[in-house]
Amino acid sequence: MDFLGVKKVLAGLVDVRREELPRILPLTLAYGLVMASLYVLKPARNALFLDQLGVGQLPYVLMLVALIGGGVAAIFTRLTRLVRLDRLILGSFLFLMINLLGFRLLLPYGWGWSFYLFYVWVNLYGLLATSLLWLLAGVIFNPREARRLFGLIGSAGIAGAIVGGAFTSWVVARVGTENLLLVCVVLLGGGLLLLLQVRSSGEVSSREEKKSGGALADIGRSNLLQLLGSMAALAAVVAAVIDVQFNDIVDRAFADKDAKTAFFGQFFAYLSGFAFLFQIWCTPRILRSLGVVSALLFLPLSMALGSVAVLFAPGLAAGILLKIGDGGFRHSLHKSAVEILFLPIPAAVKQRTKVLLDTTVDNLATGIGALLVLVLTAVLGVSYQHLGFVSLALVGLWVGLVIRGRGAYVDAFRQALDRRAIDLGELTVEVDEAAALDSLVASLDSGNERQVVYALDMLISVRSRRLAAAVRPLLQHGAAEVRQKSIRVLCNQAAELPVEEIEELLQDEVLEVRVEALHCMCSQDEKGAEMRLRGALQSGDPKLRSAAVGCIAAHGIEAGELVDAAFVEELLADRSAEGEDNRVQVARILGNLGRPEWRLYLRQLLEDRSPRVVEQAIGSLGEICDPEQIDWLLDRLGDRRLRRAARQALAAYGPAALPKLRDCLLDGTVDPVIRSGVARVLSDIRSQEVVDLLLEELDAASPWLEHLMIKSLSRLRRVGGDLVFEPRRVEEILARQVEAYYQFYEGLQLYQSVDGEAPLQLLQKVLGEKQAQVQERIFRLLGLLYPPQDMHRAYLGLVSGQARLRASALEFLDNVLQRRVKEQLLPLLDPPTAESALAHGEELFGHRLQKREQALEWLLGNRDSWLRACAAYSAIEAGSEAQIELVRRAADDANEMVREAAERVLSEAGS
Amino acid sequence: MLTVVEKVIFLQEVDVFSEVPTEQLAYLAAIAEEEIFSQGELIYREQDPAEAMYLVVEGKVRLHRGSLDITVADPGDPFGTWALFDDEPRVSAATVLEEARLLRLNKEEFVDLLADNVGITQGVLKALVKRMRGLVGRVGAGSTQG
Repeated sequence: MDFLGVKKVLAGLVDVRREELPRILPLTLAYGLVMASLYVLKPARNALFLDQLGVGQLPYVLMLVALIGGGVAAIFTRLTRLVRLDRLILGSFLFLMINLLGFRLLLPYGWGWSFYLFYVWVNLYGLLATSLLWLLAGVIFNPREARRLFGLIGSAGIAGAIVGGAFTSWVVARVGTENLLLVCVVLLGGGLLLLLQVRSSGEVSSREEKKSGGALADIGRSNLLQLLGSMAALAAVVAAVIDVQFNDIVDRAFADKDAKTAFFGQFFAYLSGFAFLFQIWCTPRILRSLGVVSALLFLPLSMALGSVAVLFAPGLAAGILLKIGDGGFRHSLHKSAVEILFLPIPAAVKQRTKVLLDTTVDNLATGIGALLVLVLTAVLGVSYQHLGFVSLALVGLWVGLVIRGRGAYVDAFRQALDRRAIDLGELTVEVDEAAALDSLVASLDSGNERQVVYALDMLISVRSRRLAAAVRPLLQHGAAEVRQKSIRVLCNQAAELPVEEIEELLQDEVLEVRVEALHCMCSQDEKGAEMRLRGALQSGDPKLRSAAVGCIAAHGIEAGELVDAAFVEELLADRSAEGEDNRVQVARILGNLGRPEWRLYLRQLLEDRSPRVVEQAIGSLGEICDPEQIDWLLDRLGDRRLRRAARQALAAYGPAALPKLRDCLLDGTVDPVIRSGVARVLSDIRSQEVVDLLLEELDAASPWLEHLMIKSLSRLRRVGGDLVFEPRRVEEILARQVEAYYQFYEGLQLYQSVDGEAPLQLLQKVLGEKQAQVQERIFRLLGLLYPPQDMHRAYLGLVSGQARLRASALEFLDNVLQRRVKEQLLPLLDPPTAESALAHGEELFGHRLQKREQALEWLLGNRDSWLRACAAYSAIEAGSEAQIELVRRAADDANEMVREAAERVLSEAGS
Repeated sequence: MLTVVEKVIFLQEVDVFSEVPTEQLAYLAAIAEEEIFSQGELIYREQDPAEAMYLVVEGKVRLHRGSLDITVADPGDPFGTWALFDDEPRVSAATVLEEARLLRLNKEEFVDLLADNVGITQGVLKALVKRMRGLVGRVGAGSTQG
């Protein structure tokens, strides 16, 4: 294998990116050193304990470990809340180093209690030092990095364990067991120096700022933390059961003490080697290809397999199989997967809870496991072999938890993505609450008109004597909207109605206020309402008359009998100051009444010289859906004053307008502003026919129109309820968009490698913009297949420019997208290198641009005219003969902008 | 005459258009007119109604208040930009120092274009918000230091 081949293999094994080196290198080496020191200490601890106190004392010291471990872990958890992580690591490592020196001085005295203390201390040392390192790793790497790199850190740990163990057996005879402690001081000091080199974002040193209910409260609030705690507990209990079974099998297989020792030494060496190779070769691949949740199943399933083997074929082979699962996976694949599960947990919560879960839970569960074994074997007489049934039952529970936990993991990422935004929809006010009412009444005095209107809106359905008194002065407010809304609020306070003041408002300058006042007066006397309206209509007072017309239009369809043809014609002919107001209201009434014979009047109003009247007439057209006016409405989409009303009216036609809307949308000769308006109208018609039409016609659309149509589909999806977006068709379109994304990526790679002047820089920018547009379309399409809010969150995370948010988004997608979609898309969205993305695209789509001439040819053949123009113009900058030849062809382009750019290039090139 | 692409190359350098997608800038380019001024010619006076913004393609333009020089606009530099956004009269005069080719963006046409093209409006707003955030950031940093 040549150098490049070796490099490629290594890159596949250890996928580290240049910018990660300053973090991963010191951390990995430090973890290796810490694990090496632990595996120097463990044999020393066992040897000293057995030599001084004997094996009979072992169960007691194990119980002591569980008891003291729990207490120390609780104290340590509290420390992680109070002290910055970098300072905590520094302090803890220095403390541990001093402890080691202390034990080196203490142990030679041979006091029995000192060996108990040392045994417990070594256990805590292992848990705390490794826990701190993983805590740091969780903070300095984002989820995507973690997925690639945690396997490497774990490998370094296992390598450290192998080296530590081998070193111990090699030097112990020469230096003596006690002196090994000094070696550990050196190893730990080395690890500390390396950790001080780790540089990362401010989060490493961020201390918890807010008070919280503590680690247990955090765990209570998080499904994911509960899952992690439950898994850790089950793993420890099952491991304790398995440990007993394994020791029993070995004890029976080897009669001689030395033979047992030799077997243990050999077995653990091989097991560490297996774990190391598995961690290097398989862990990253399993995590990348199968995902975190599948990786979590390896440990319980391997334990189950070993338990079955021991149940049905008890013997040394079955015992080895049993222990391989625990020893081989627990500290490699399982550890890496668990650490990744911690990633969506906010840093502060993680800091509070991780040590507790890693140490206290592990200790207590091991104690529970030992107790369970004791009860089953000593009290109930169950044989060690049949303890396998207990393991299987616990593994069943464990697997169930893992499968259920997938949802908790995805939810945690969803929440992590959500944390970037505040949902204003959650800010609701319960008006019945006295405090809320006080606050709203107080805001009626505000000088801010919008605030007063908002408060009045909130108070419309509230009845309160105090409210009436507060609102009454607002009848004289300078803002018409405030006067109008005040009438509405007061009208609801029947007993407190200031009739005279409201009647005065029948002469208000603003029609809407007069209408509200008249409506209020009518609503107080339902029997006399018609008479009052009739009187107002027949009155010689034009203000009162227009108020009556407005009142019928806004509130009184039942008063329709007051309206006849003569009445309408009279108002249409009205040229008084109130004439415009009256025509607006007539237009409204015509829409409400919907009499076909009166369509003539409405058409007359559509030609009115007042835009207000036309706007209202268009609104009424939407009510009566006159089919003859669809073309007229489509033209109005190009009129910026009327387009909003026209859009709403066309949408109100519903599927009846679809054939004309479709023709207009696809007609390249129609003004793009109108076609864009049609796309918007379609998104307002919540009908399956619209969805089908948009999906069907997407193939024929230009990139510009394609973007609009996908946006329309996306809007329909968000509000559509029971609309069906044919998944196969959507996936087809999605695959095309992914290909387009790849093509822009290819183009960018080719052009980015060139340092050019303005024309080339512009082309690079355009390619980037087009790629971003395709990315938006991809996520809108994904929103048709998956929950649109989730895809929107993921999209925002991806384009946020924040590495952590982007990584969370990718991790989230990795967990929710179907394998086929994921395999196409993610290698392009998150490629380790540009080359890998290009190779992936070439494999998927069977083509790859190699030269700029090829890229130019592709760009000049693109359907996007702006892209063609910029591509043609880019050749002005030292374009090769081949490029100029391509541009010559573009001089005949159908688009004027492209022709113009090509001609400029050709004239500069002198041809 | 500049092509649309060439006009876009100039327009993308204008601060308020920096966040407008280039494709939308092509619409702006379509309404941007080229004008040539000779040396010493007055483009606008102080207190004149502001009806357009300019962008120097070639030449130099002096911006001044009476005899007091404010700055000199070189090729690629815009001036009178805020004319597009408010109705205040010109706060300085603009006089051609060296024969100049300018791009002129008329306010009324610009506003019409904004109304029809949400992409440009979004881009302009984004650039303004970015500038505002920058100012707020600087004020914050200043007050912290102070």
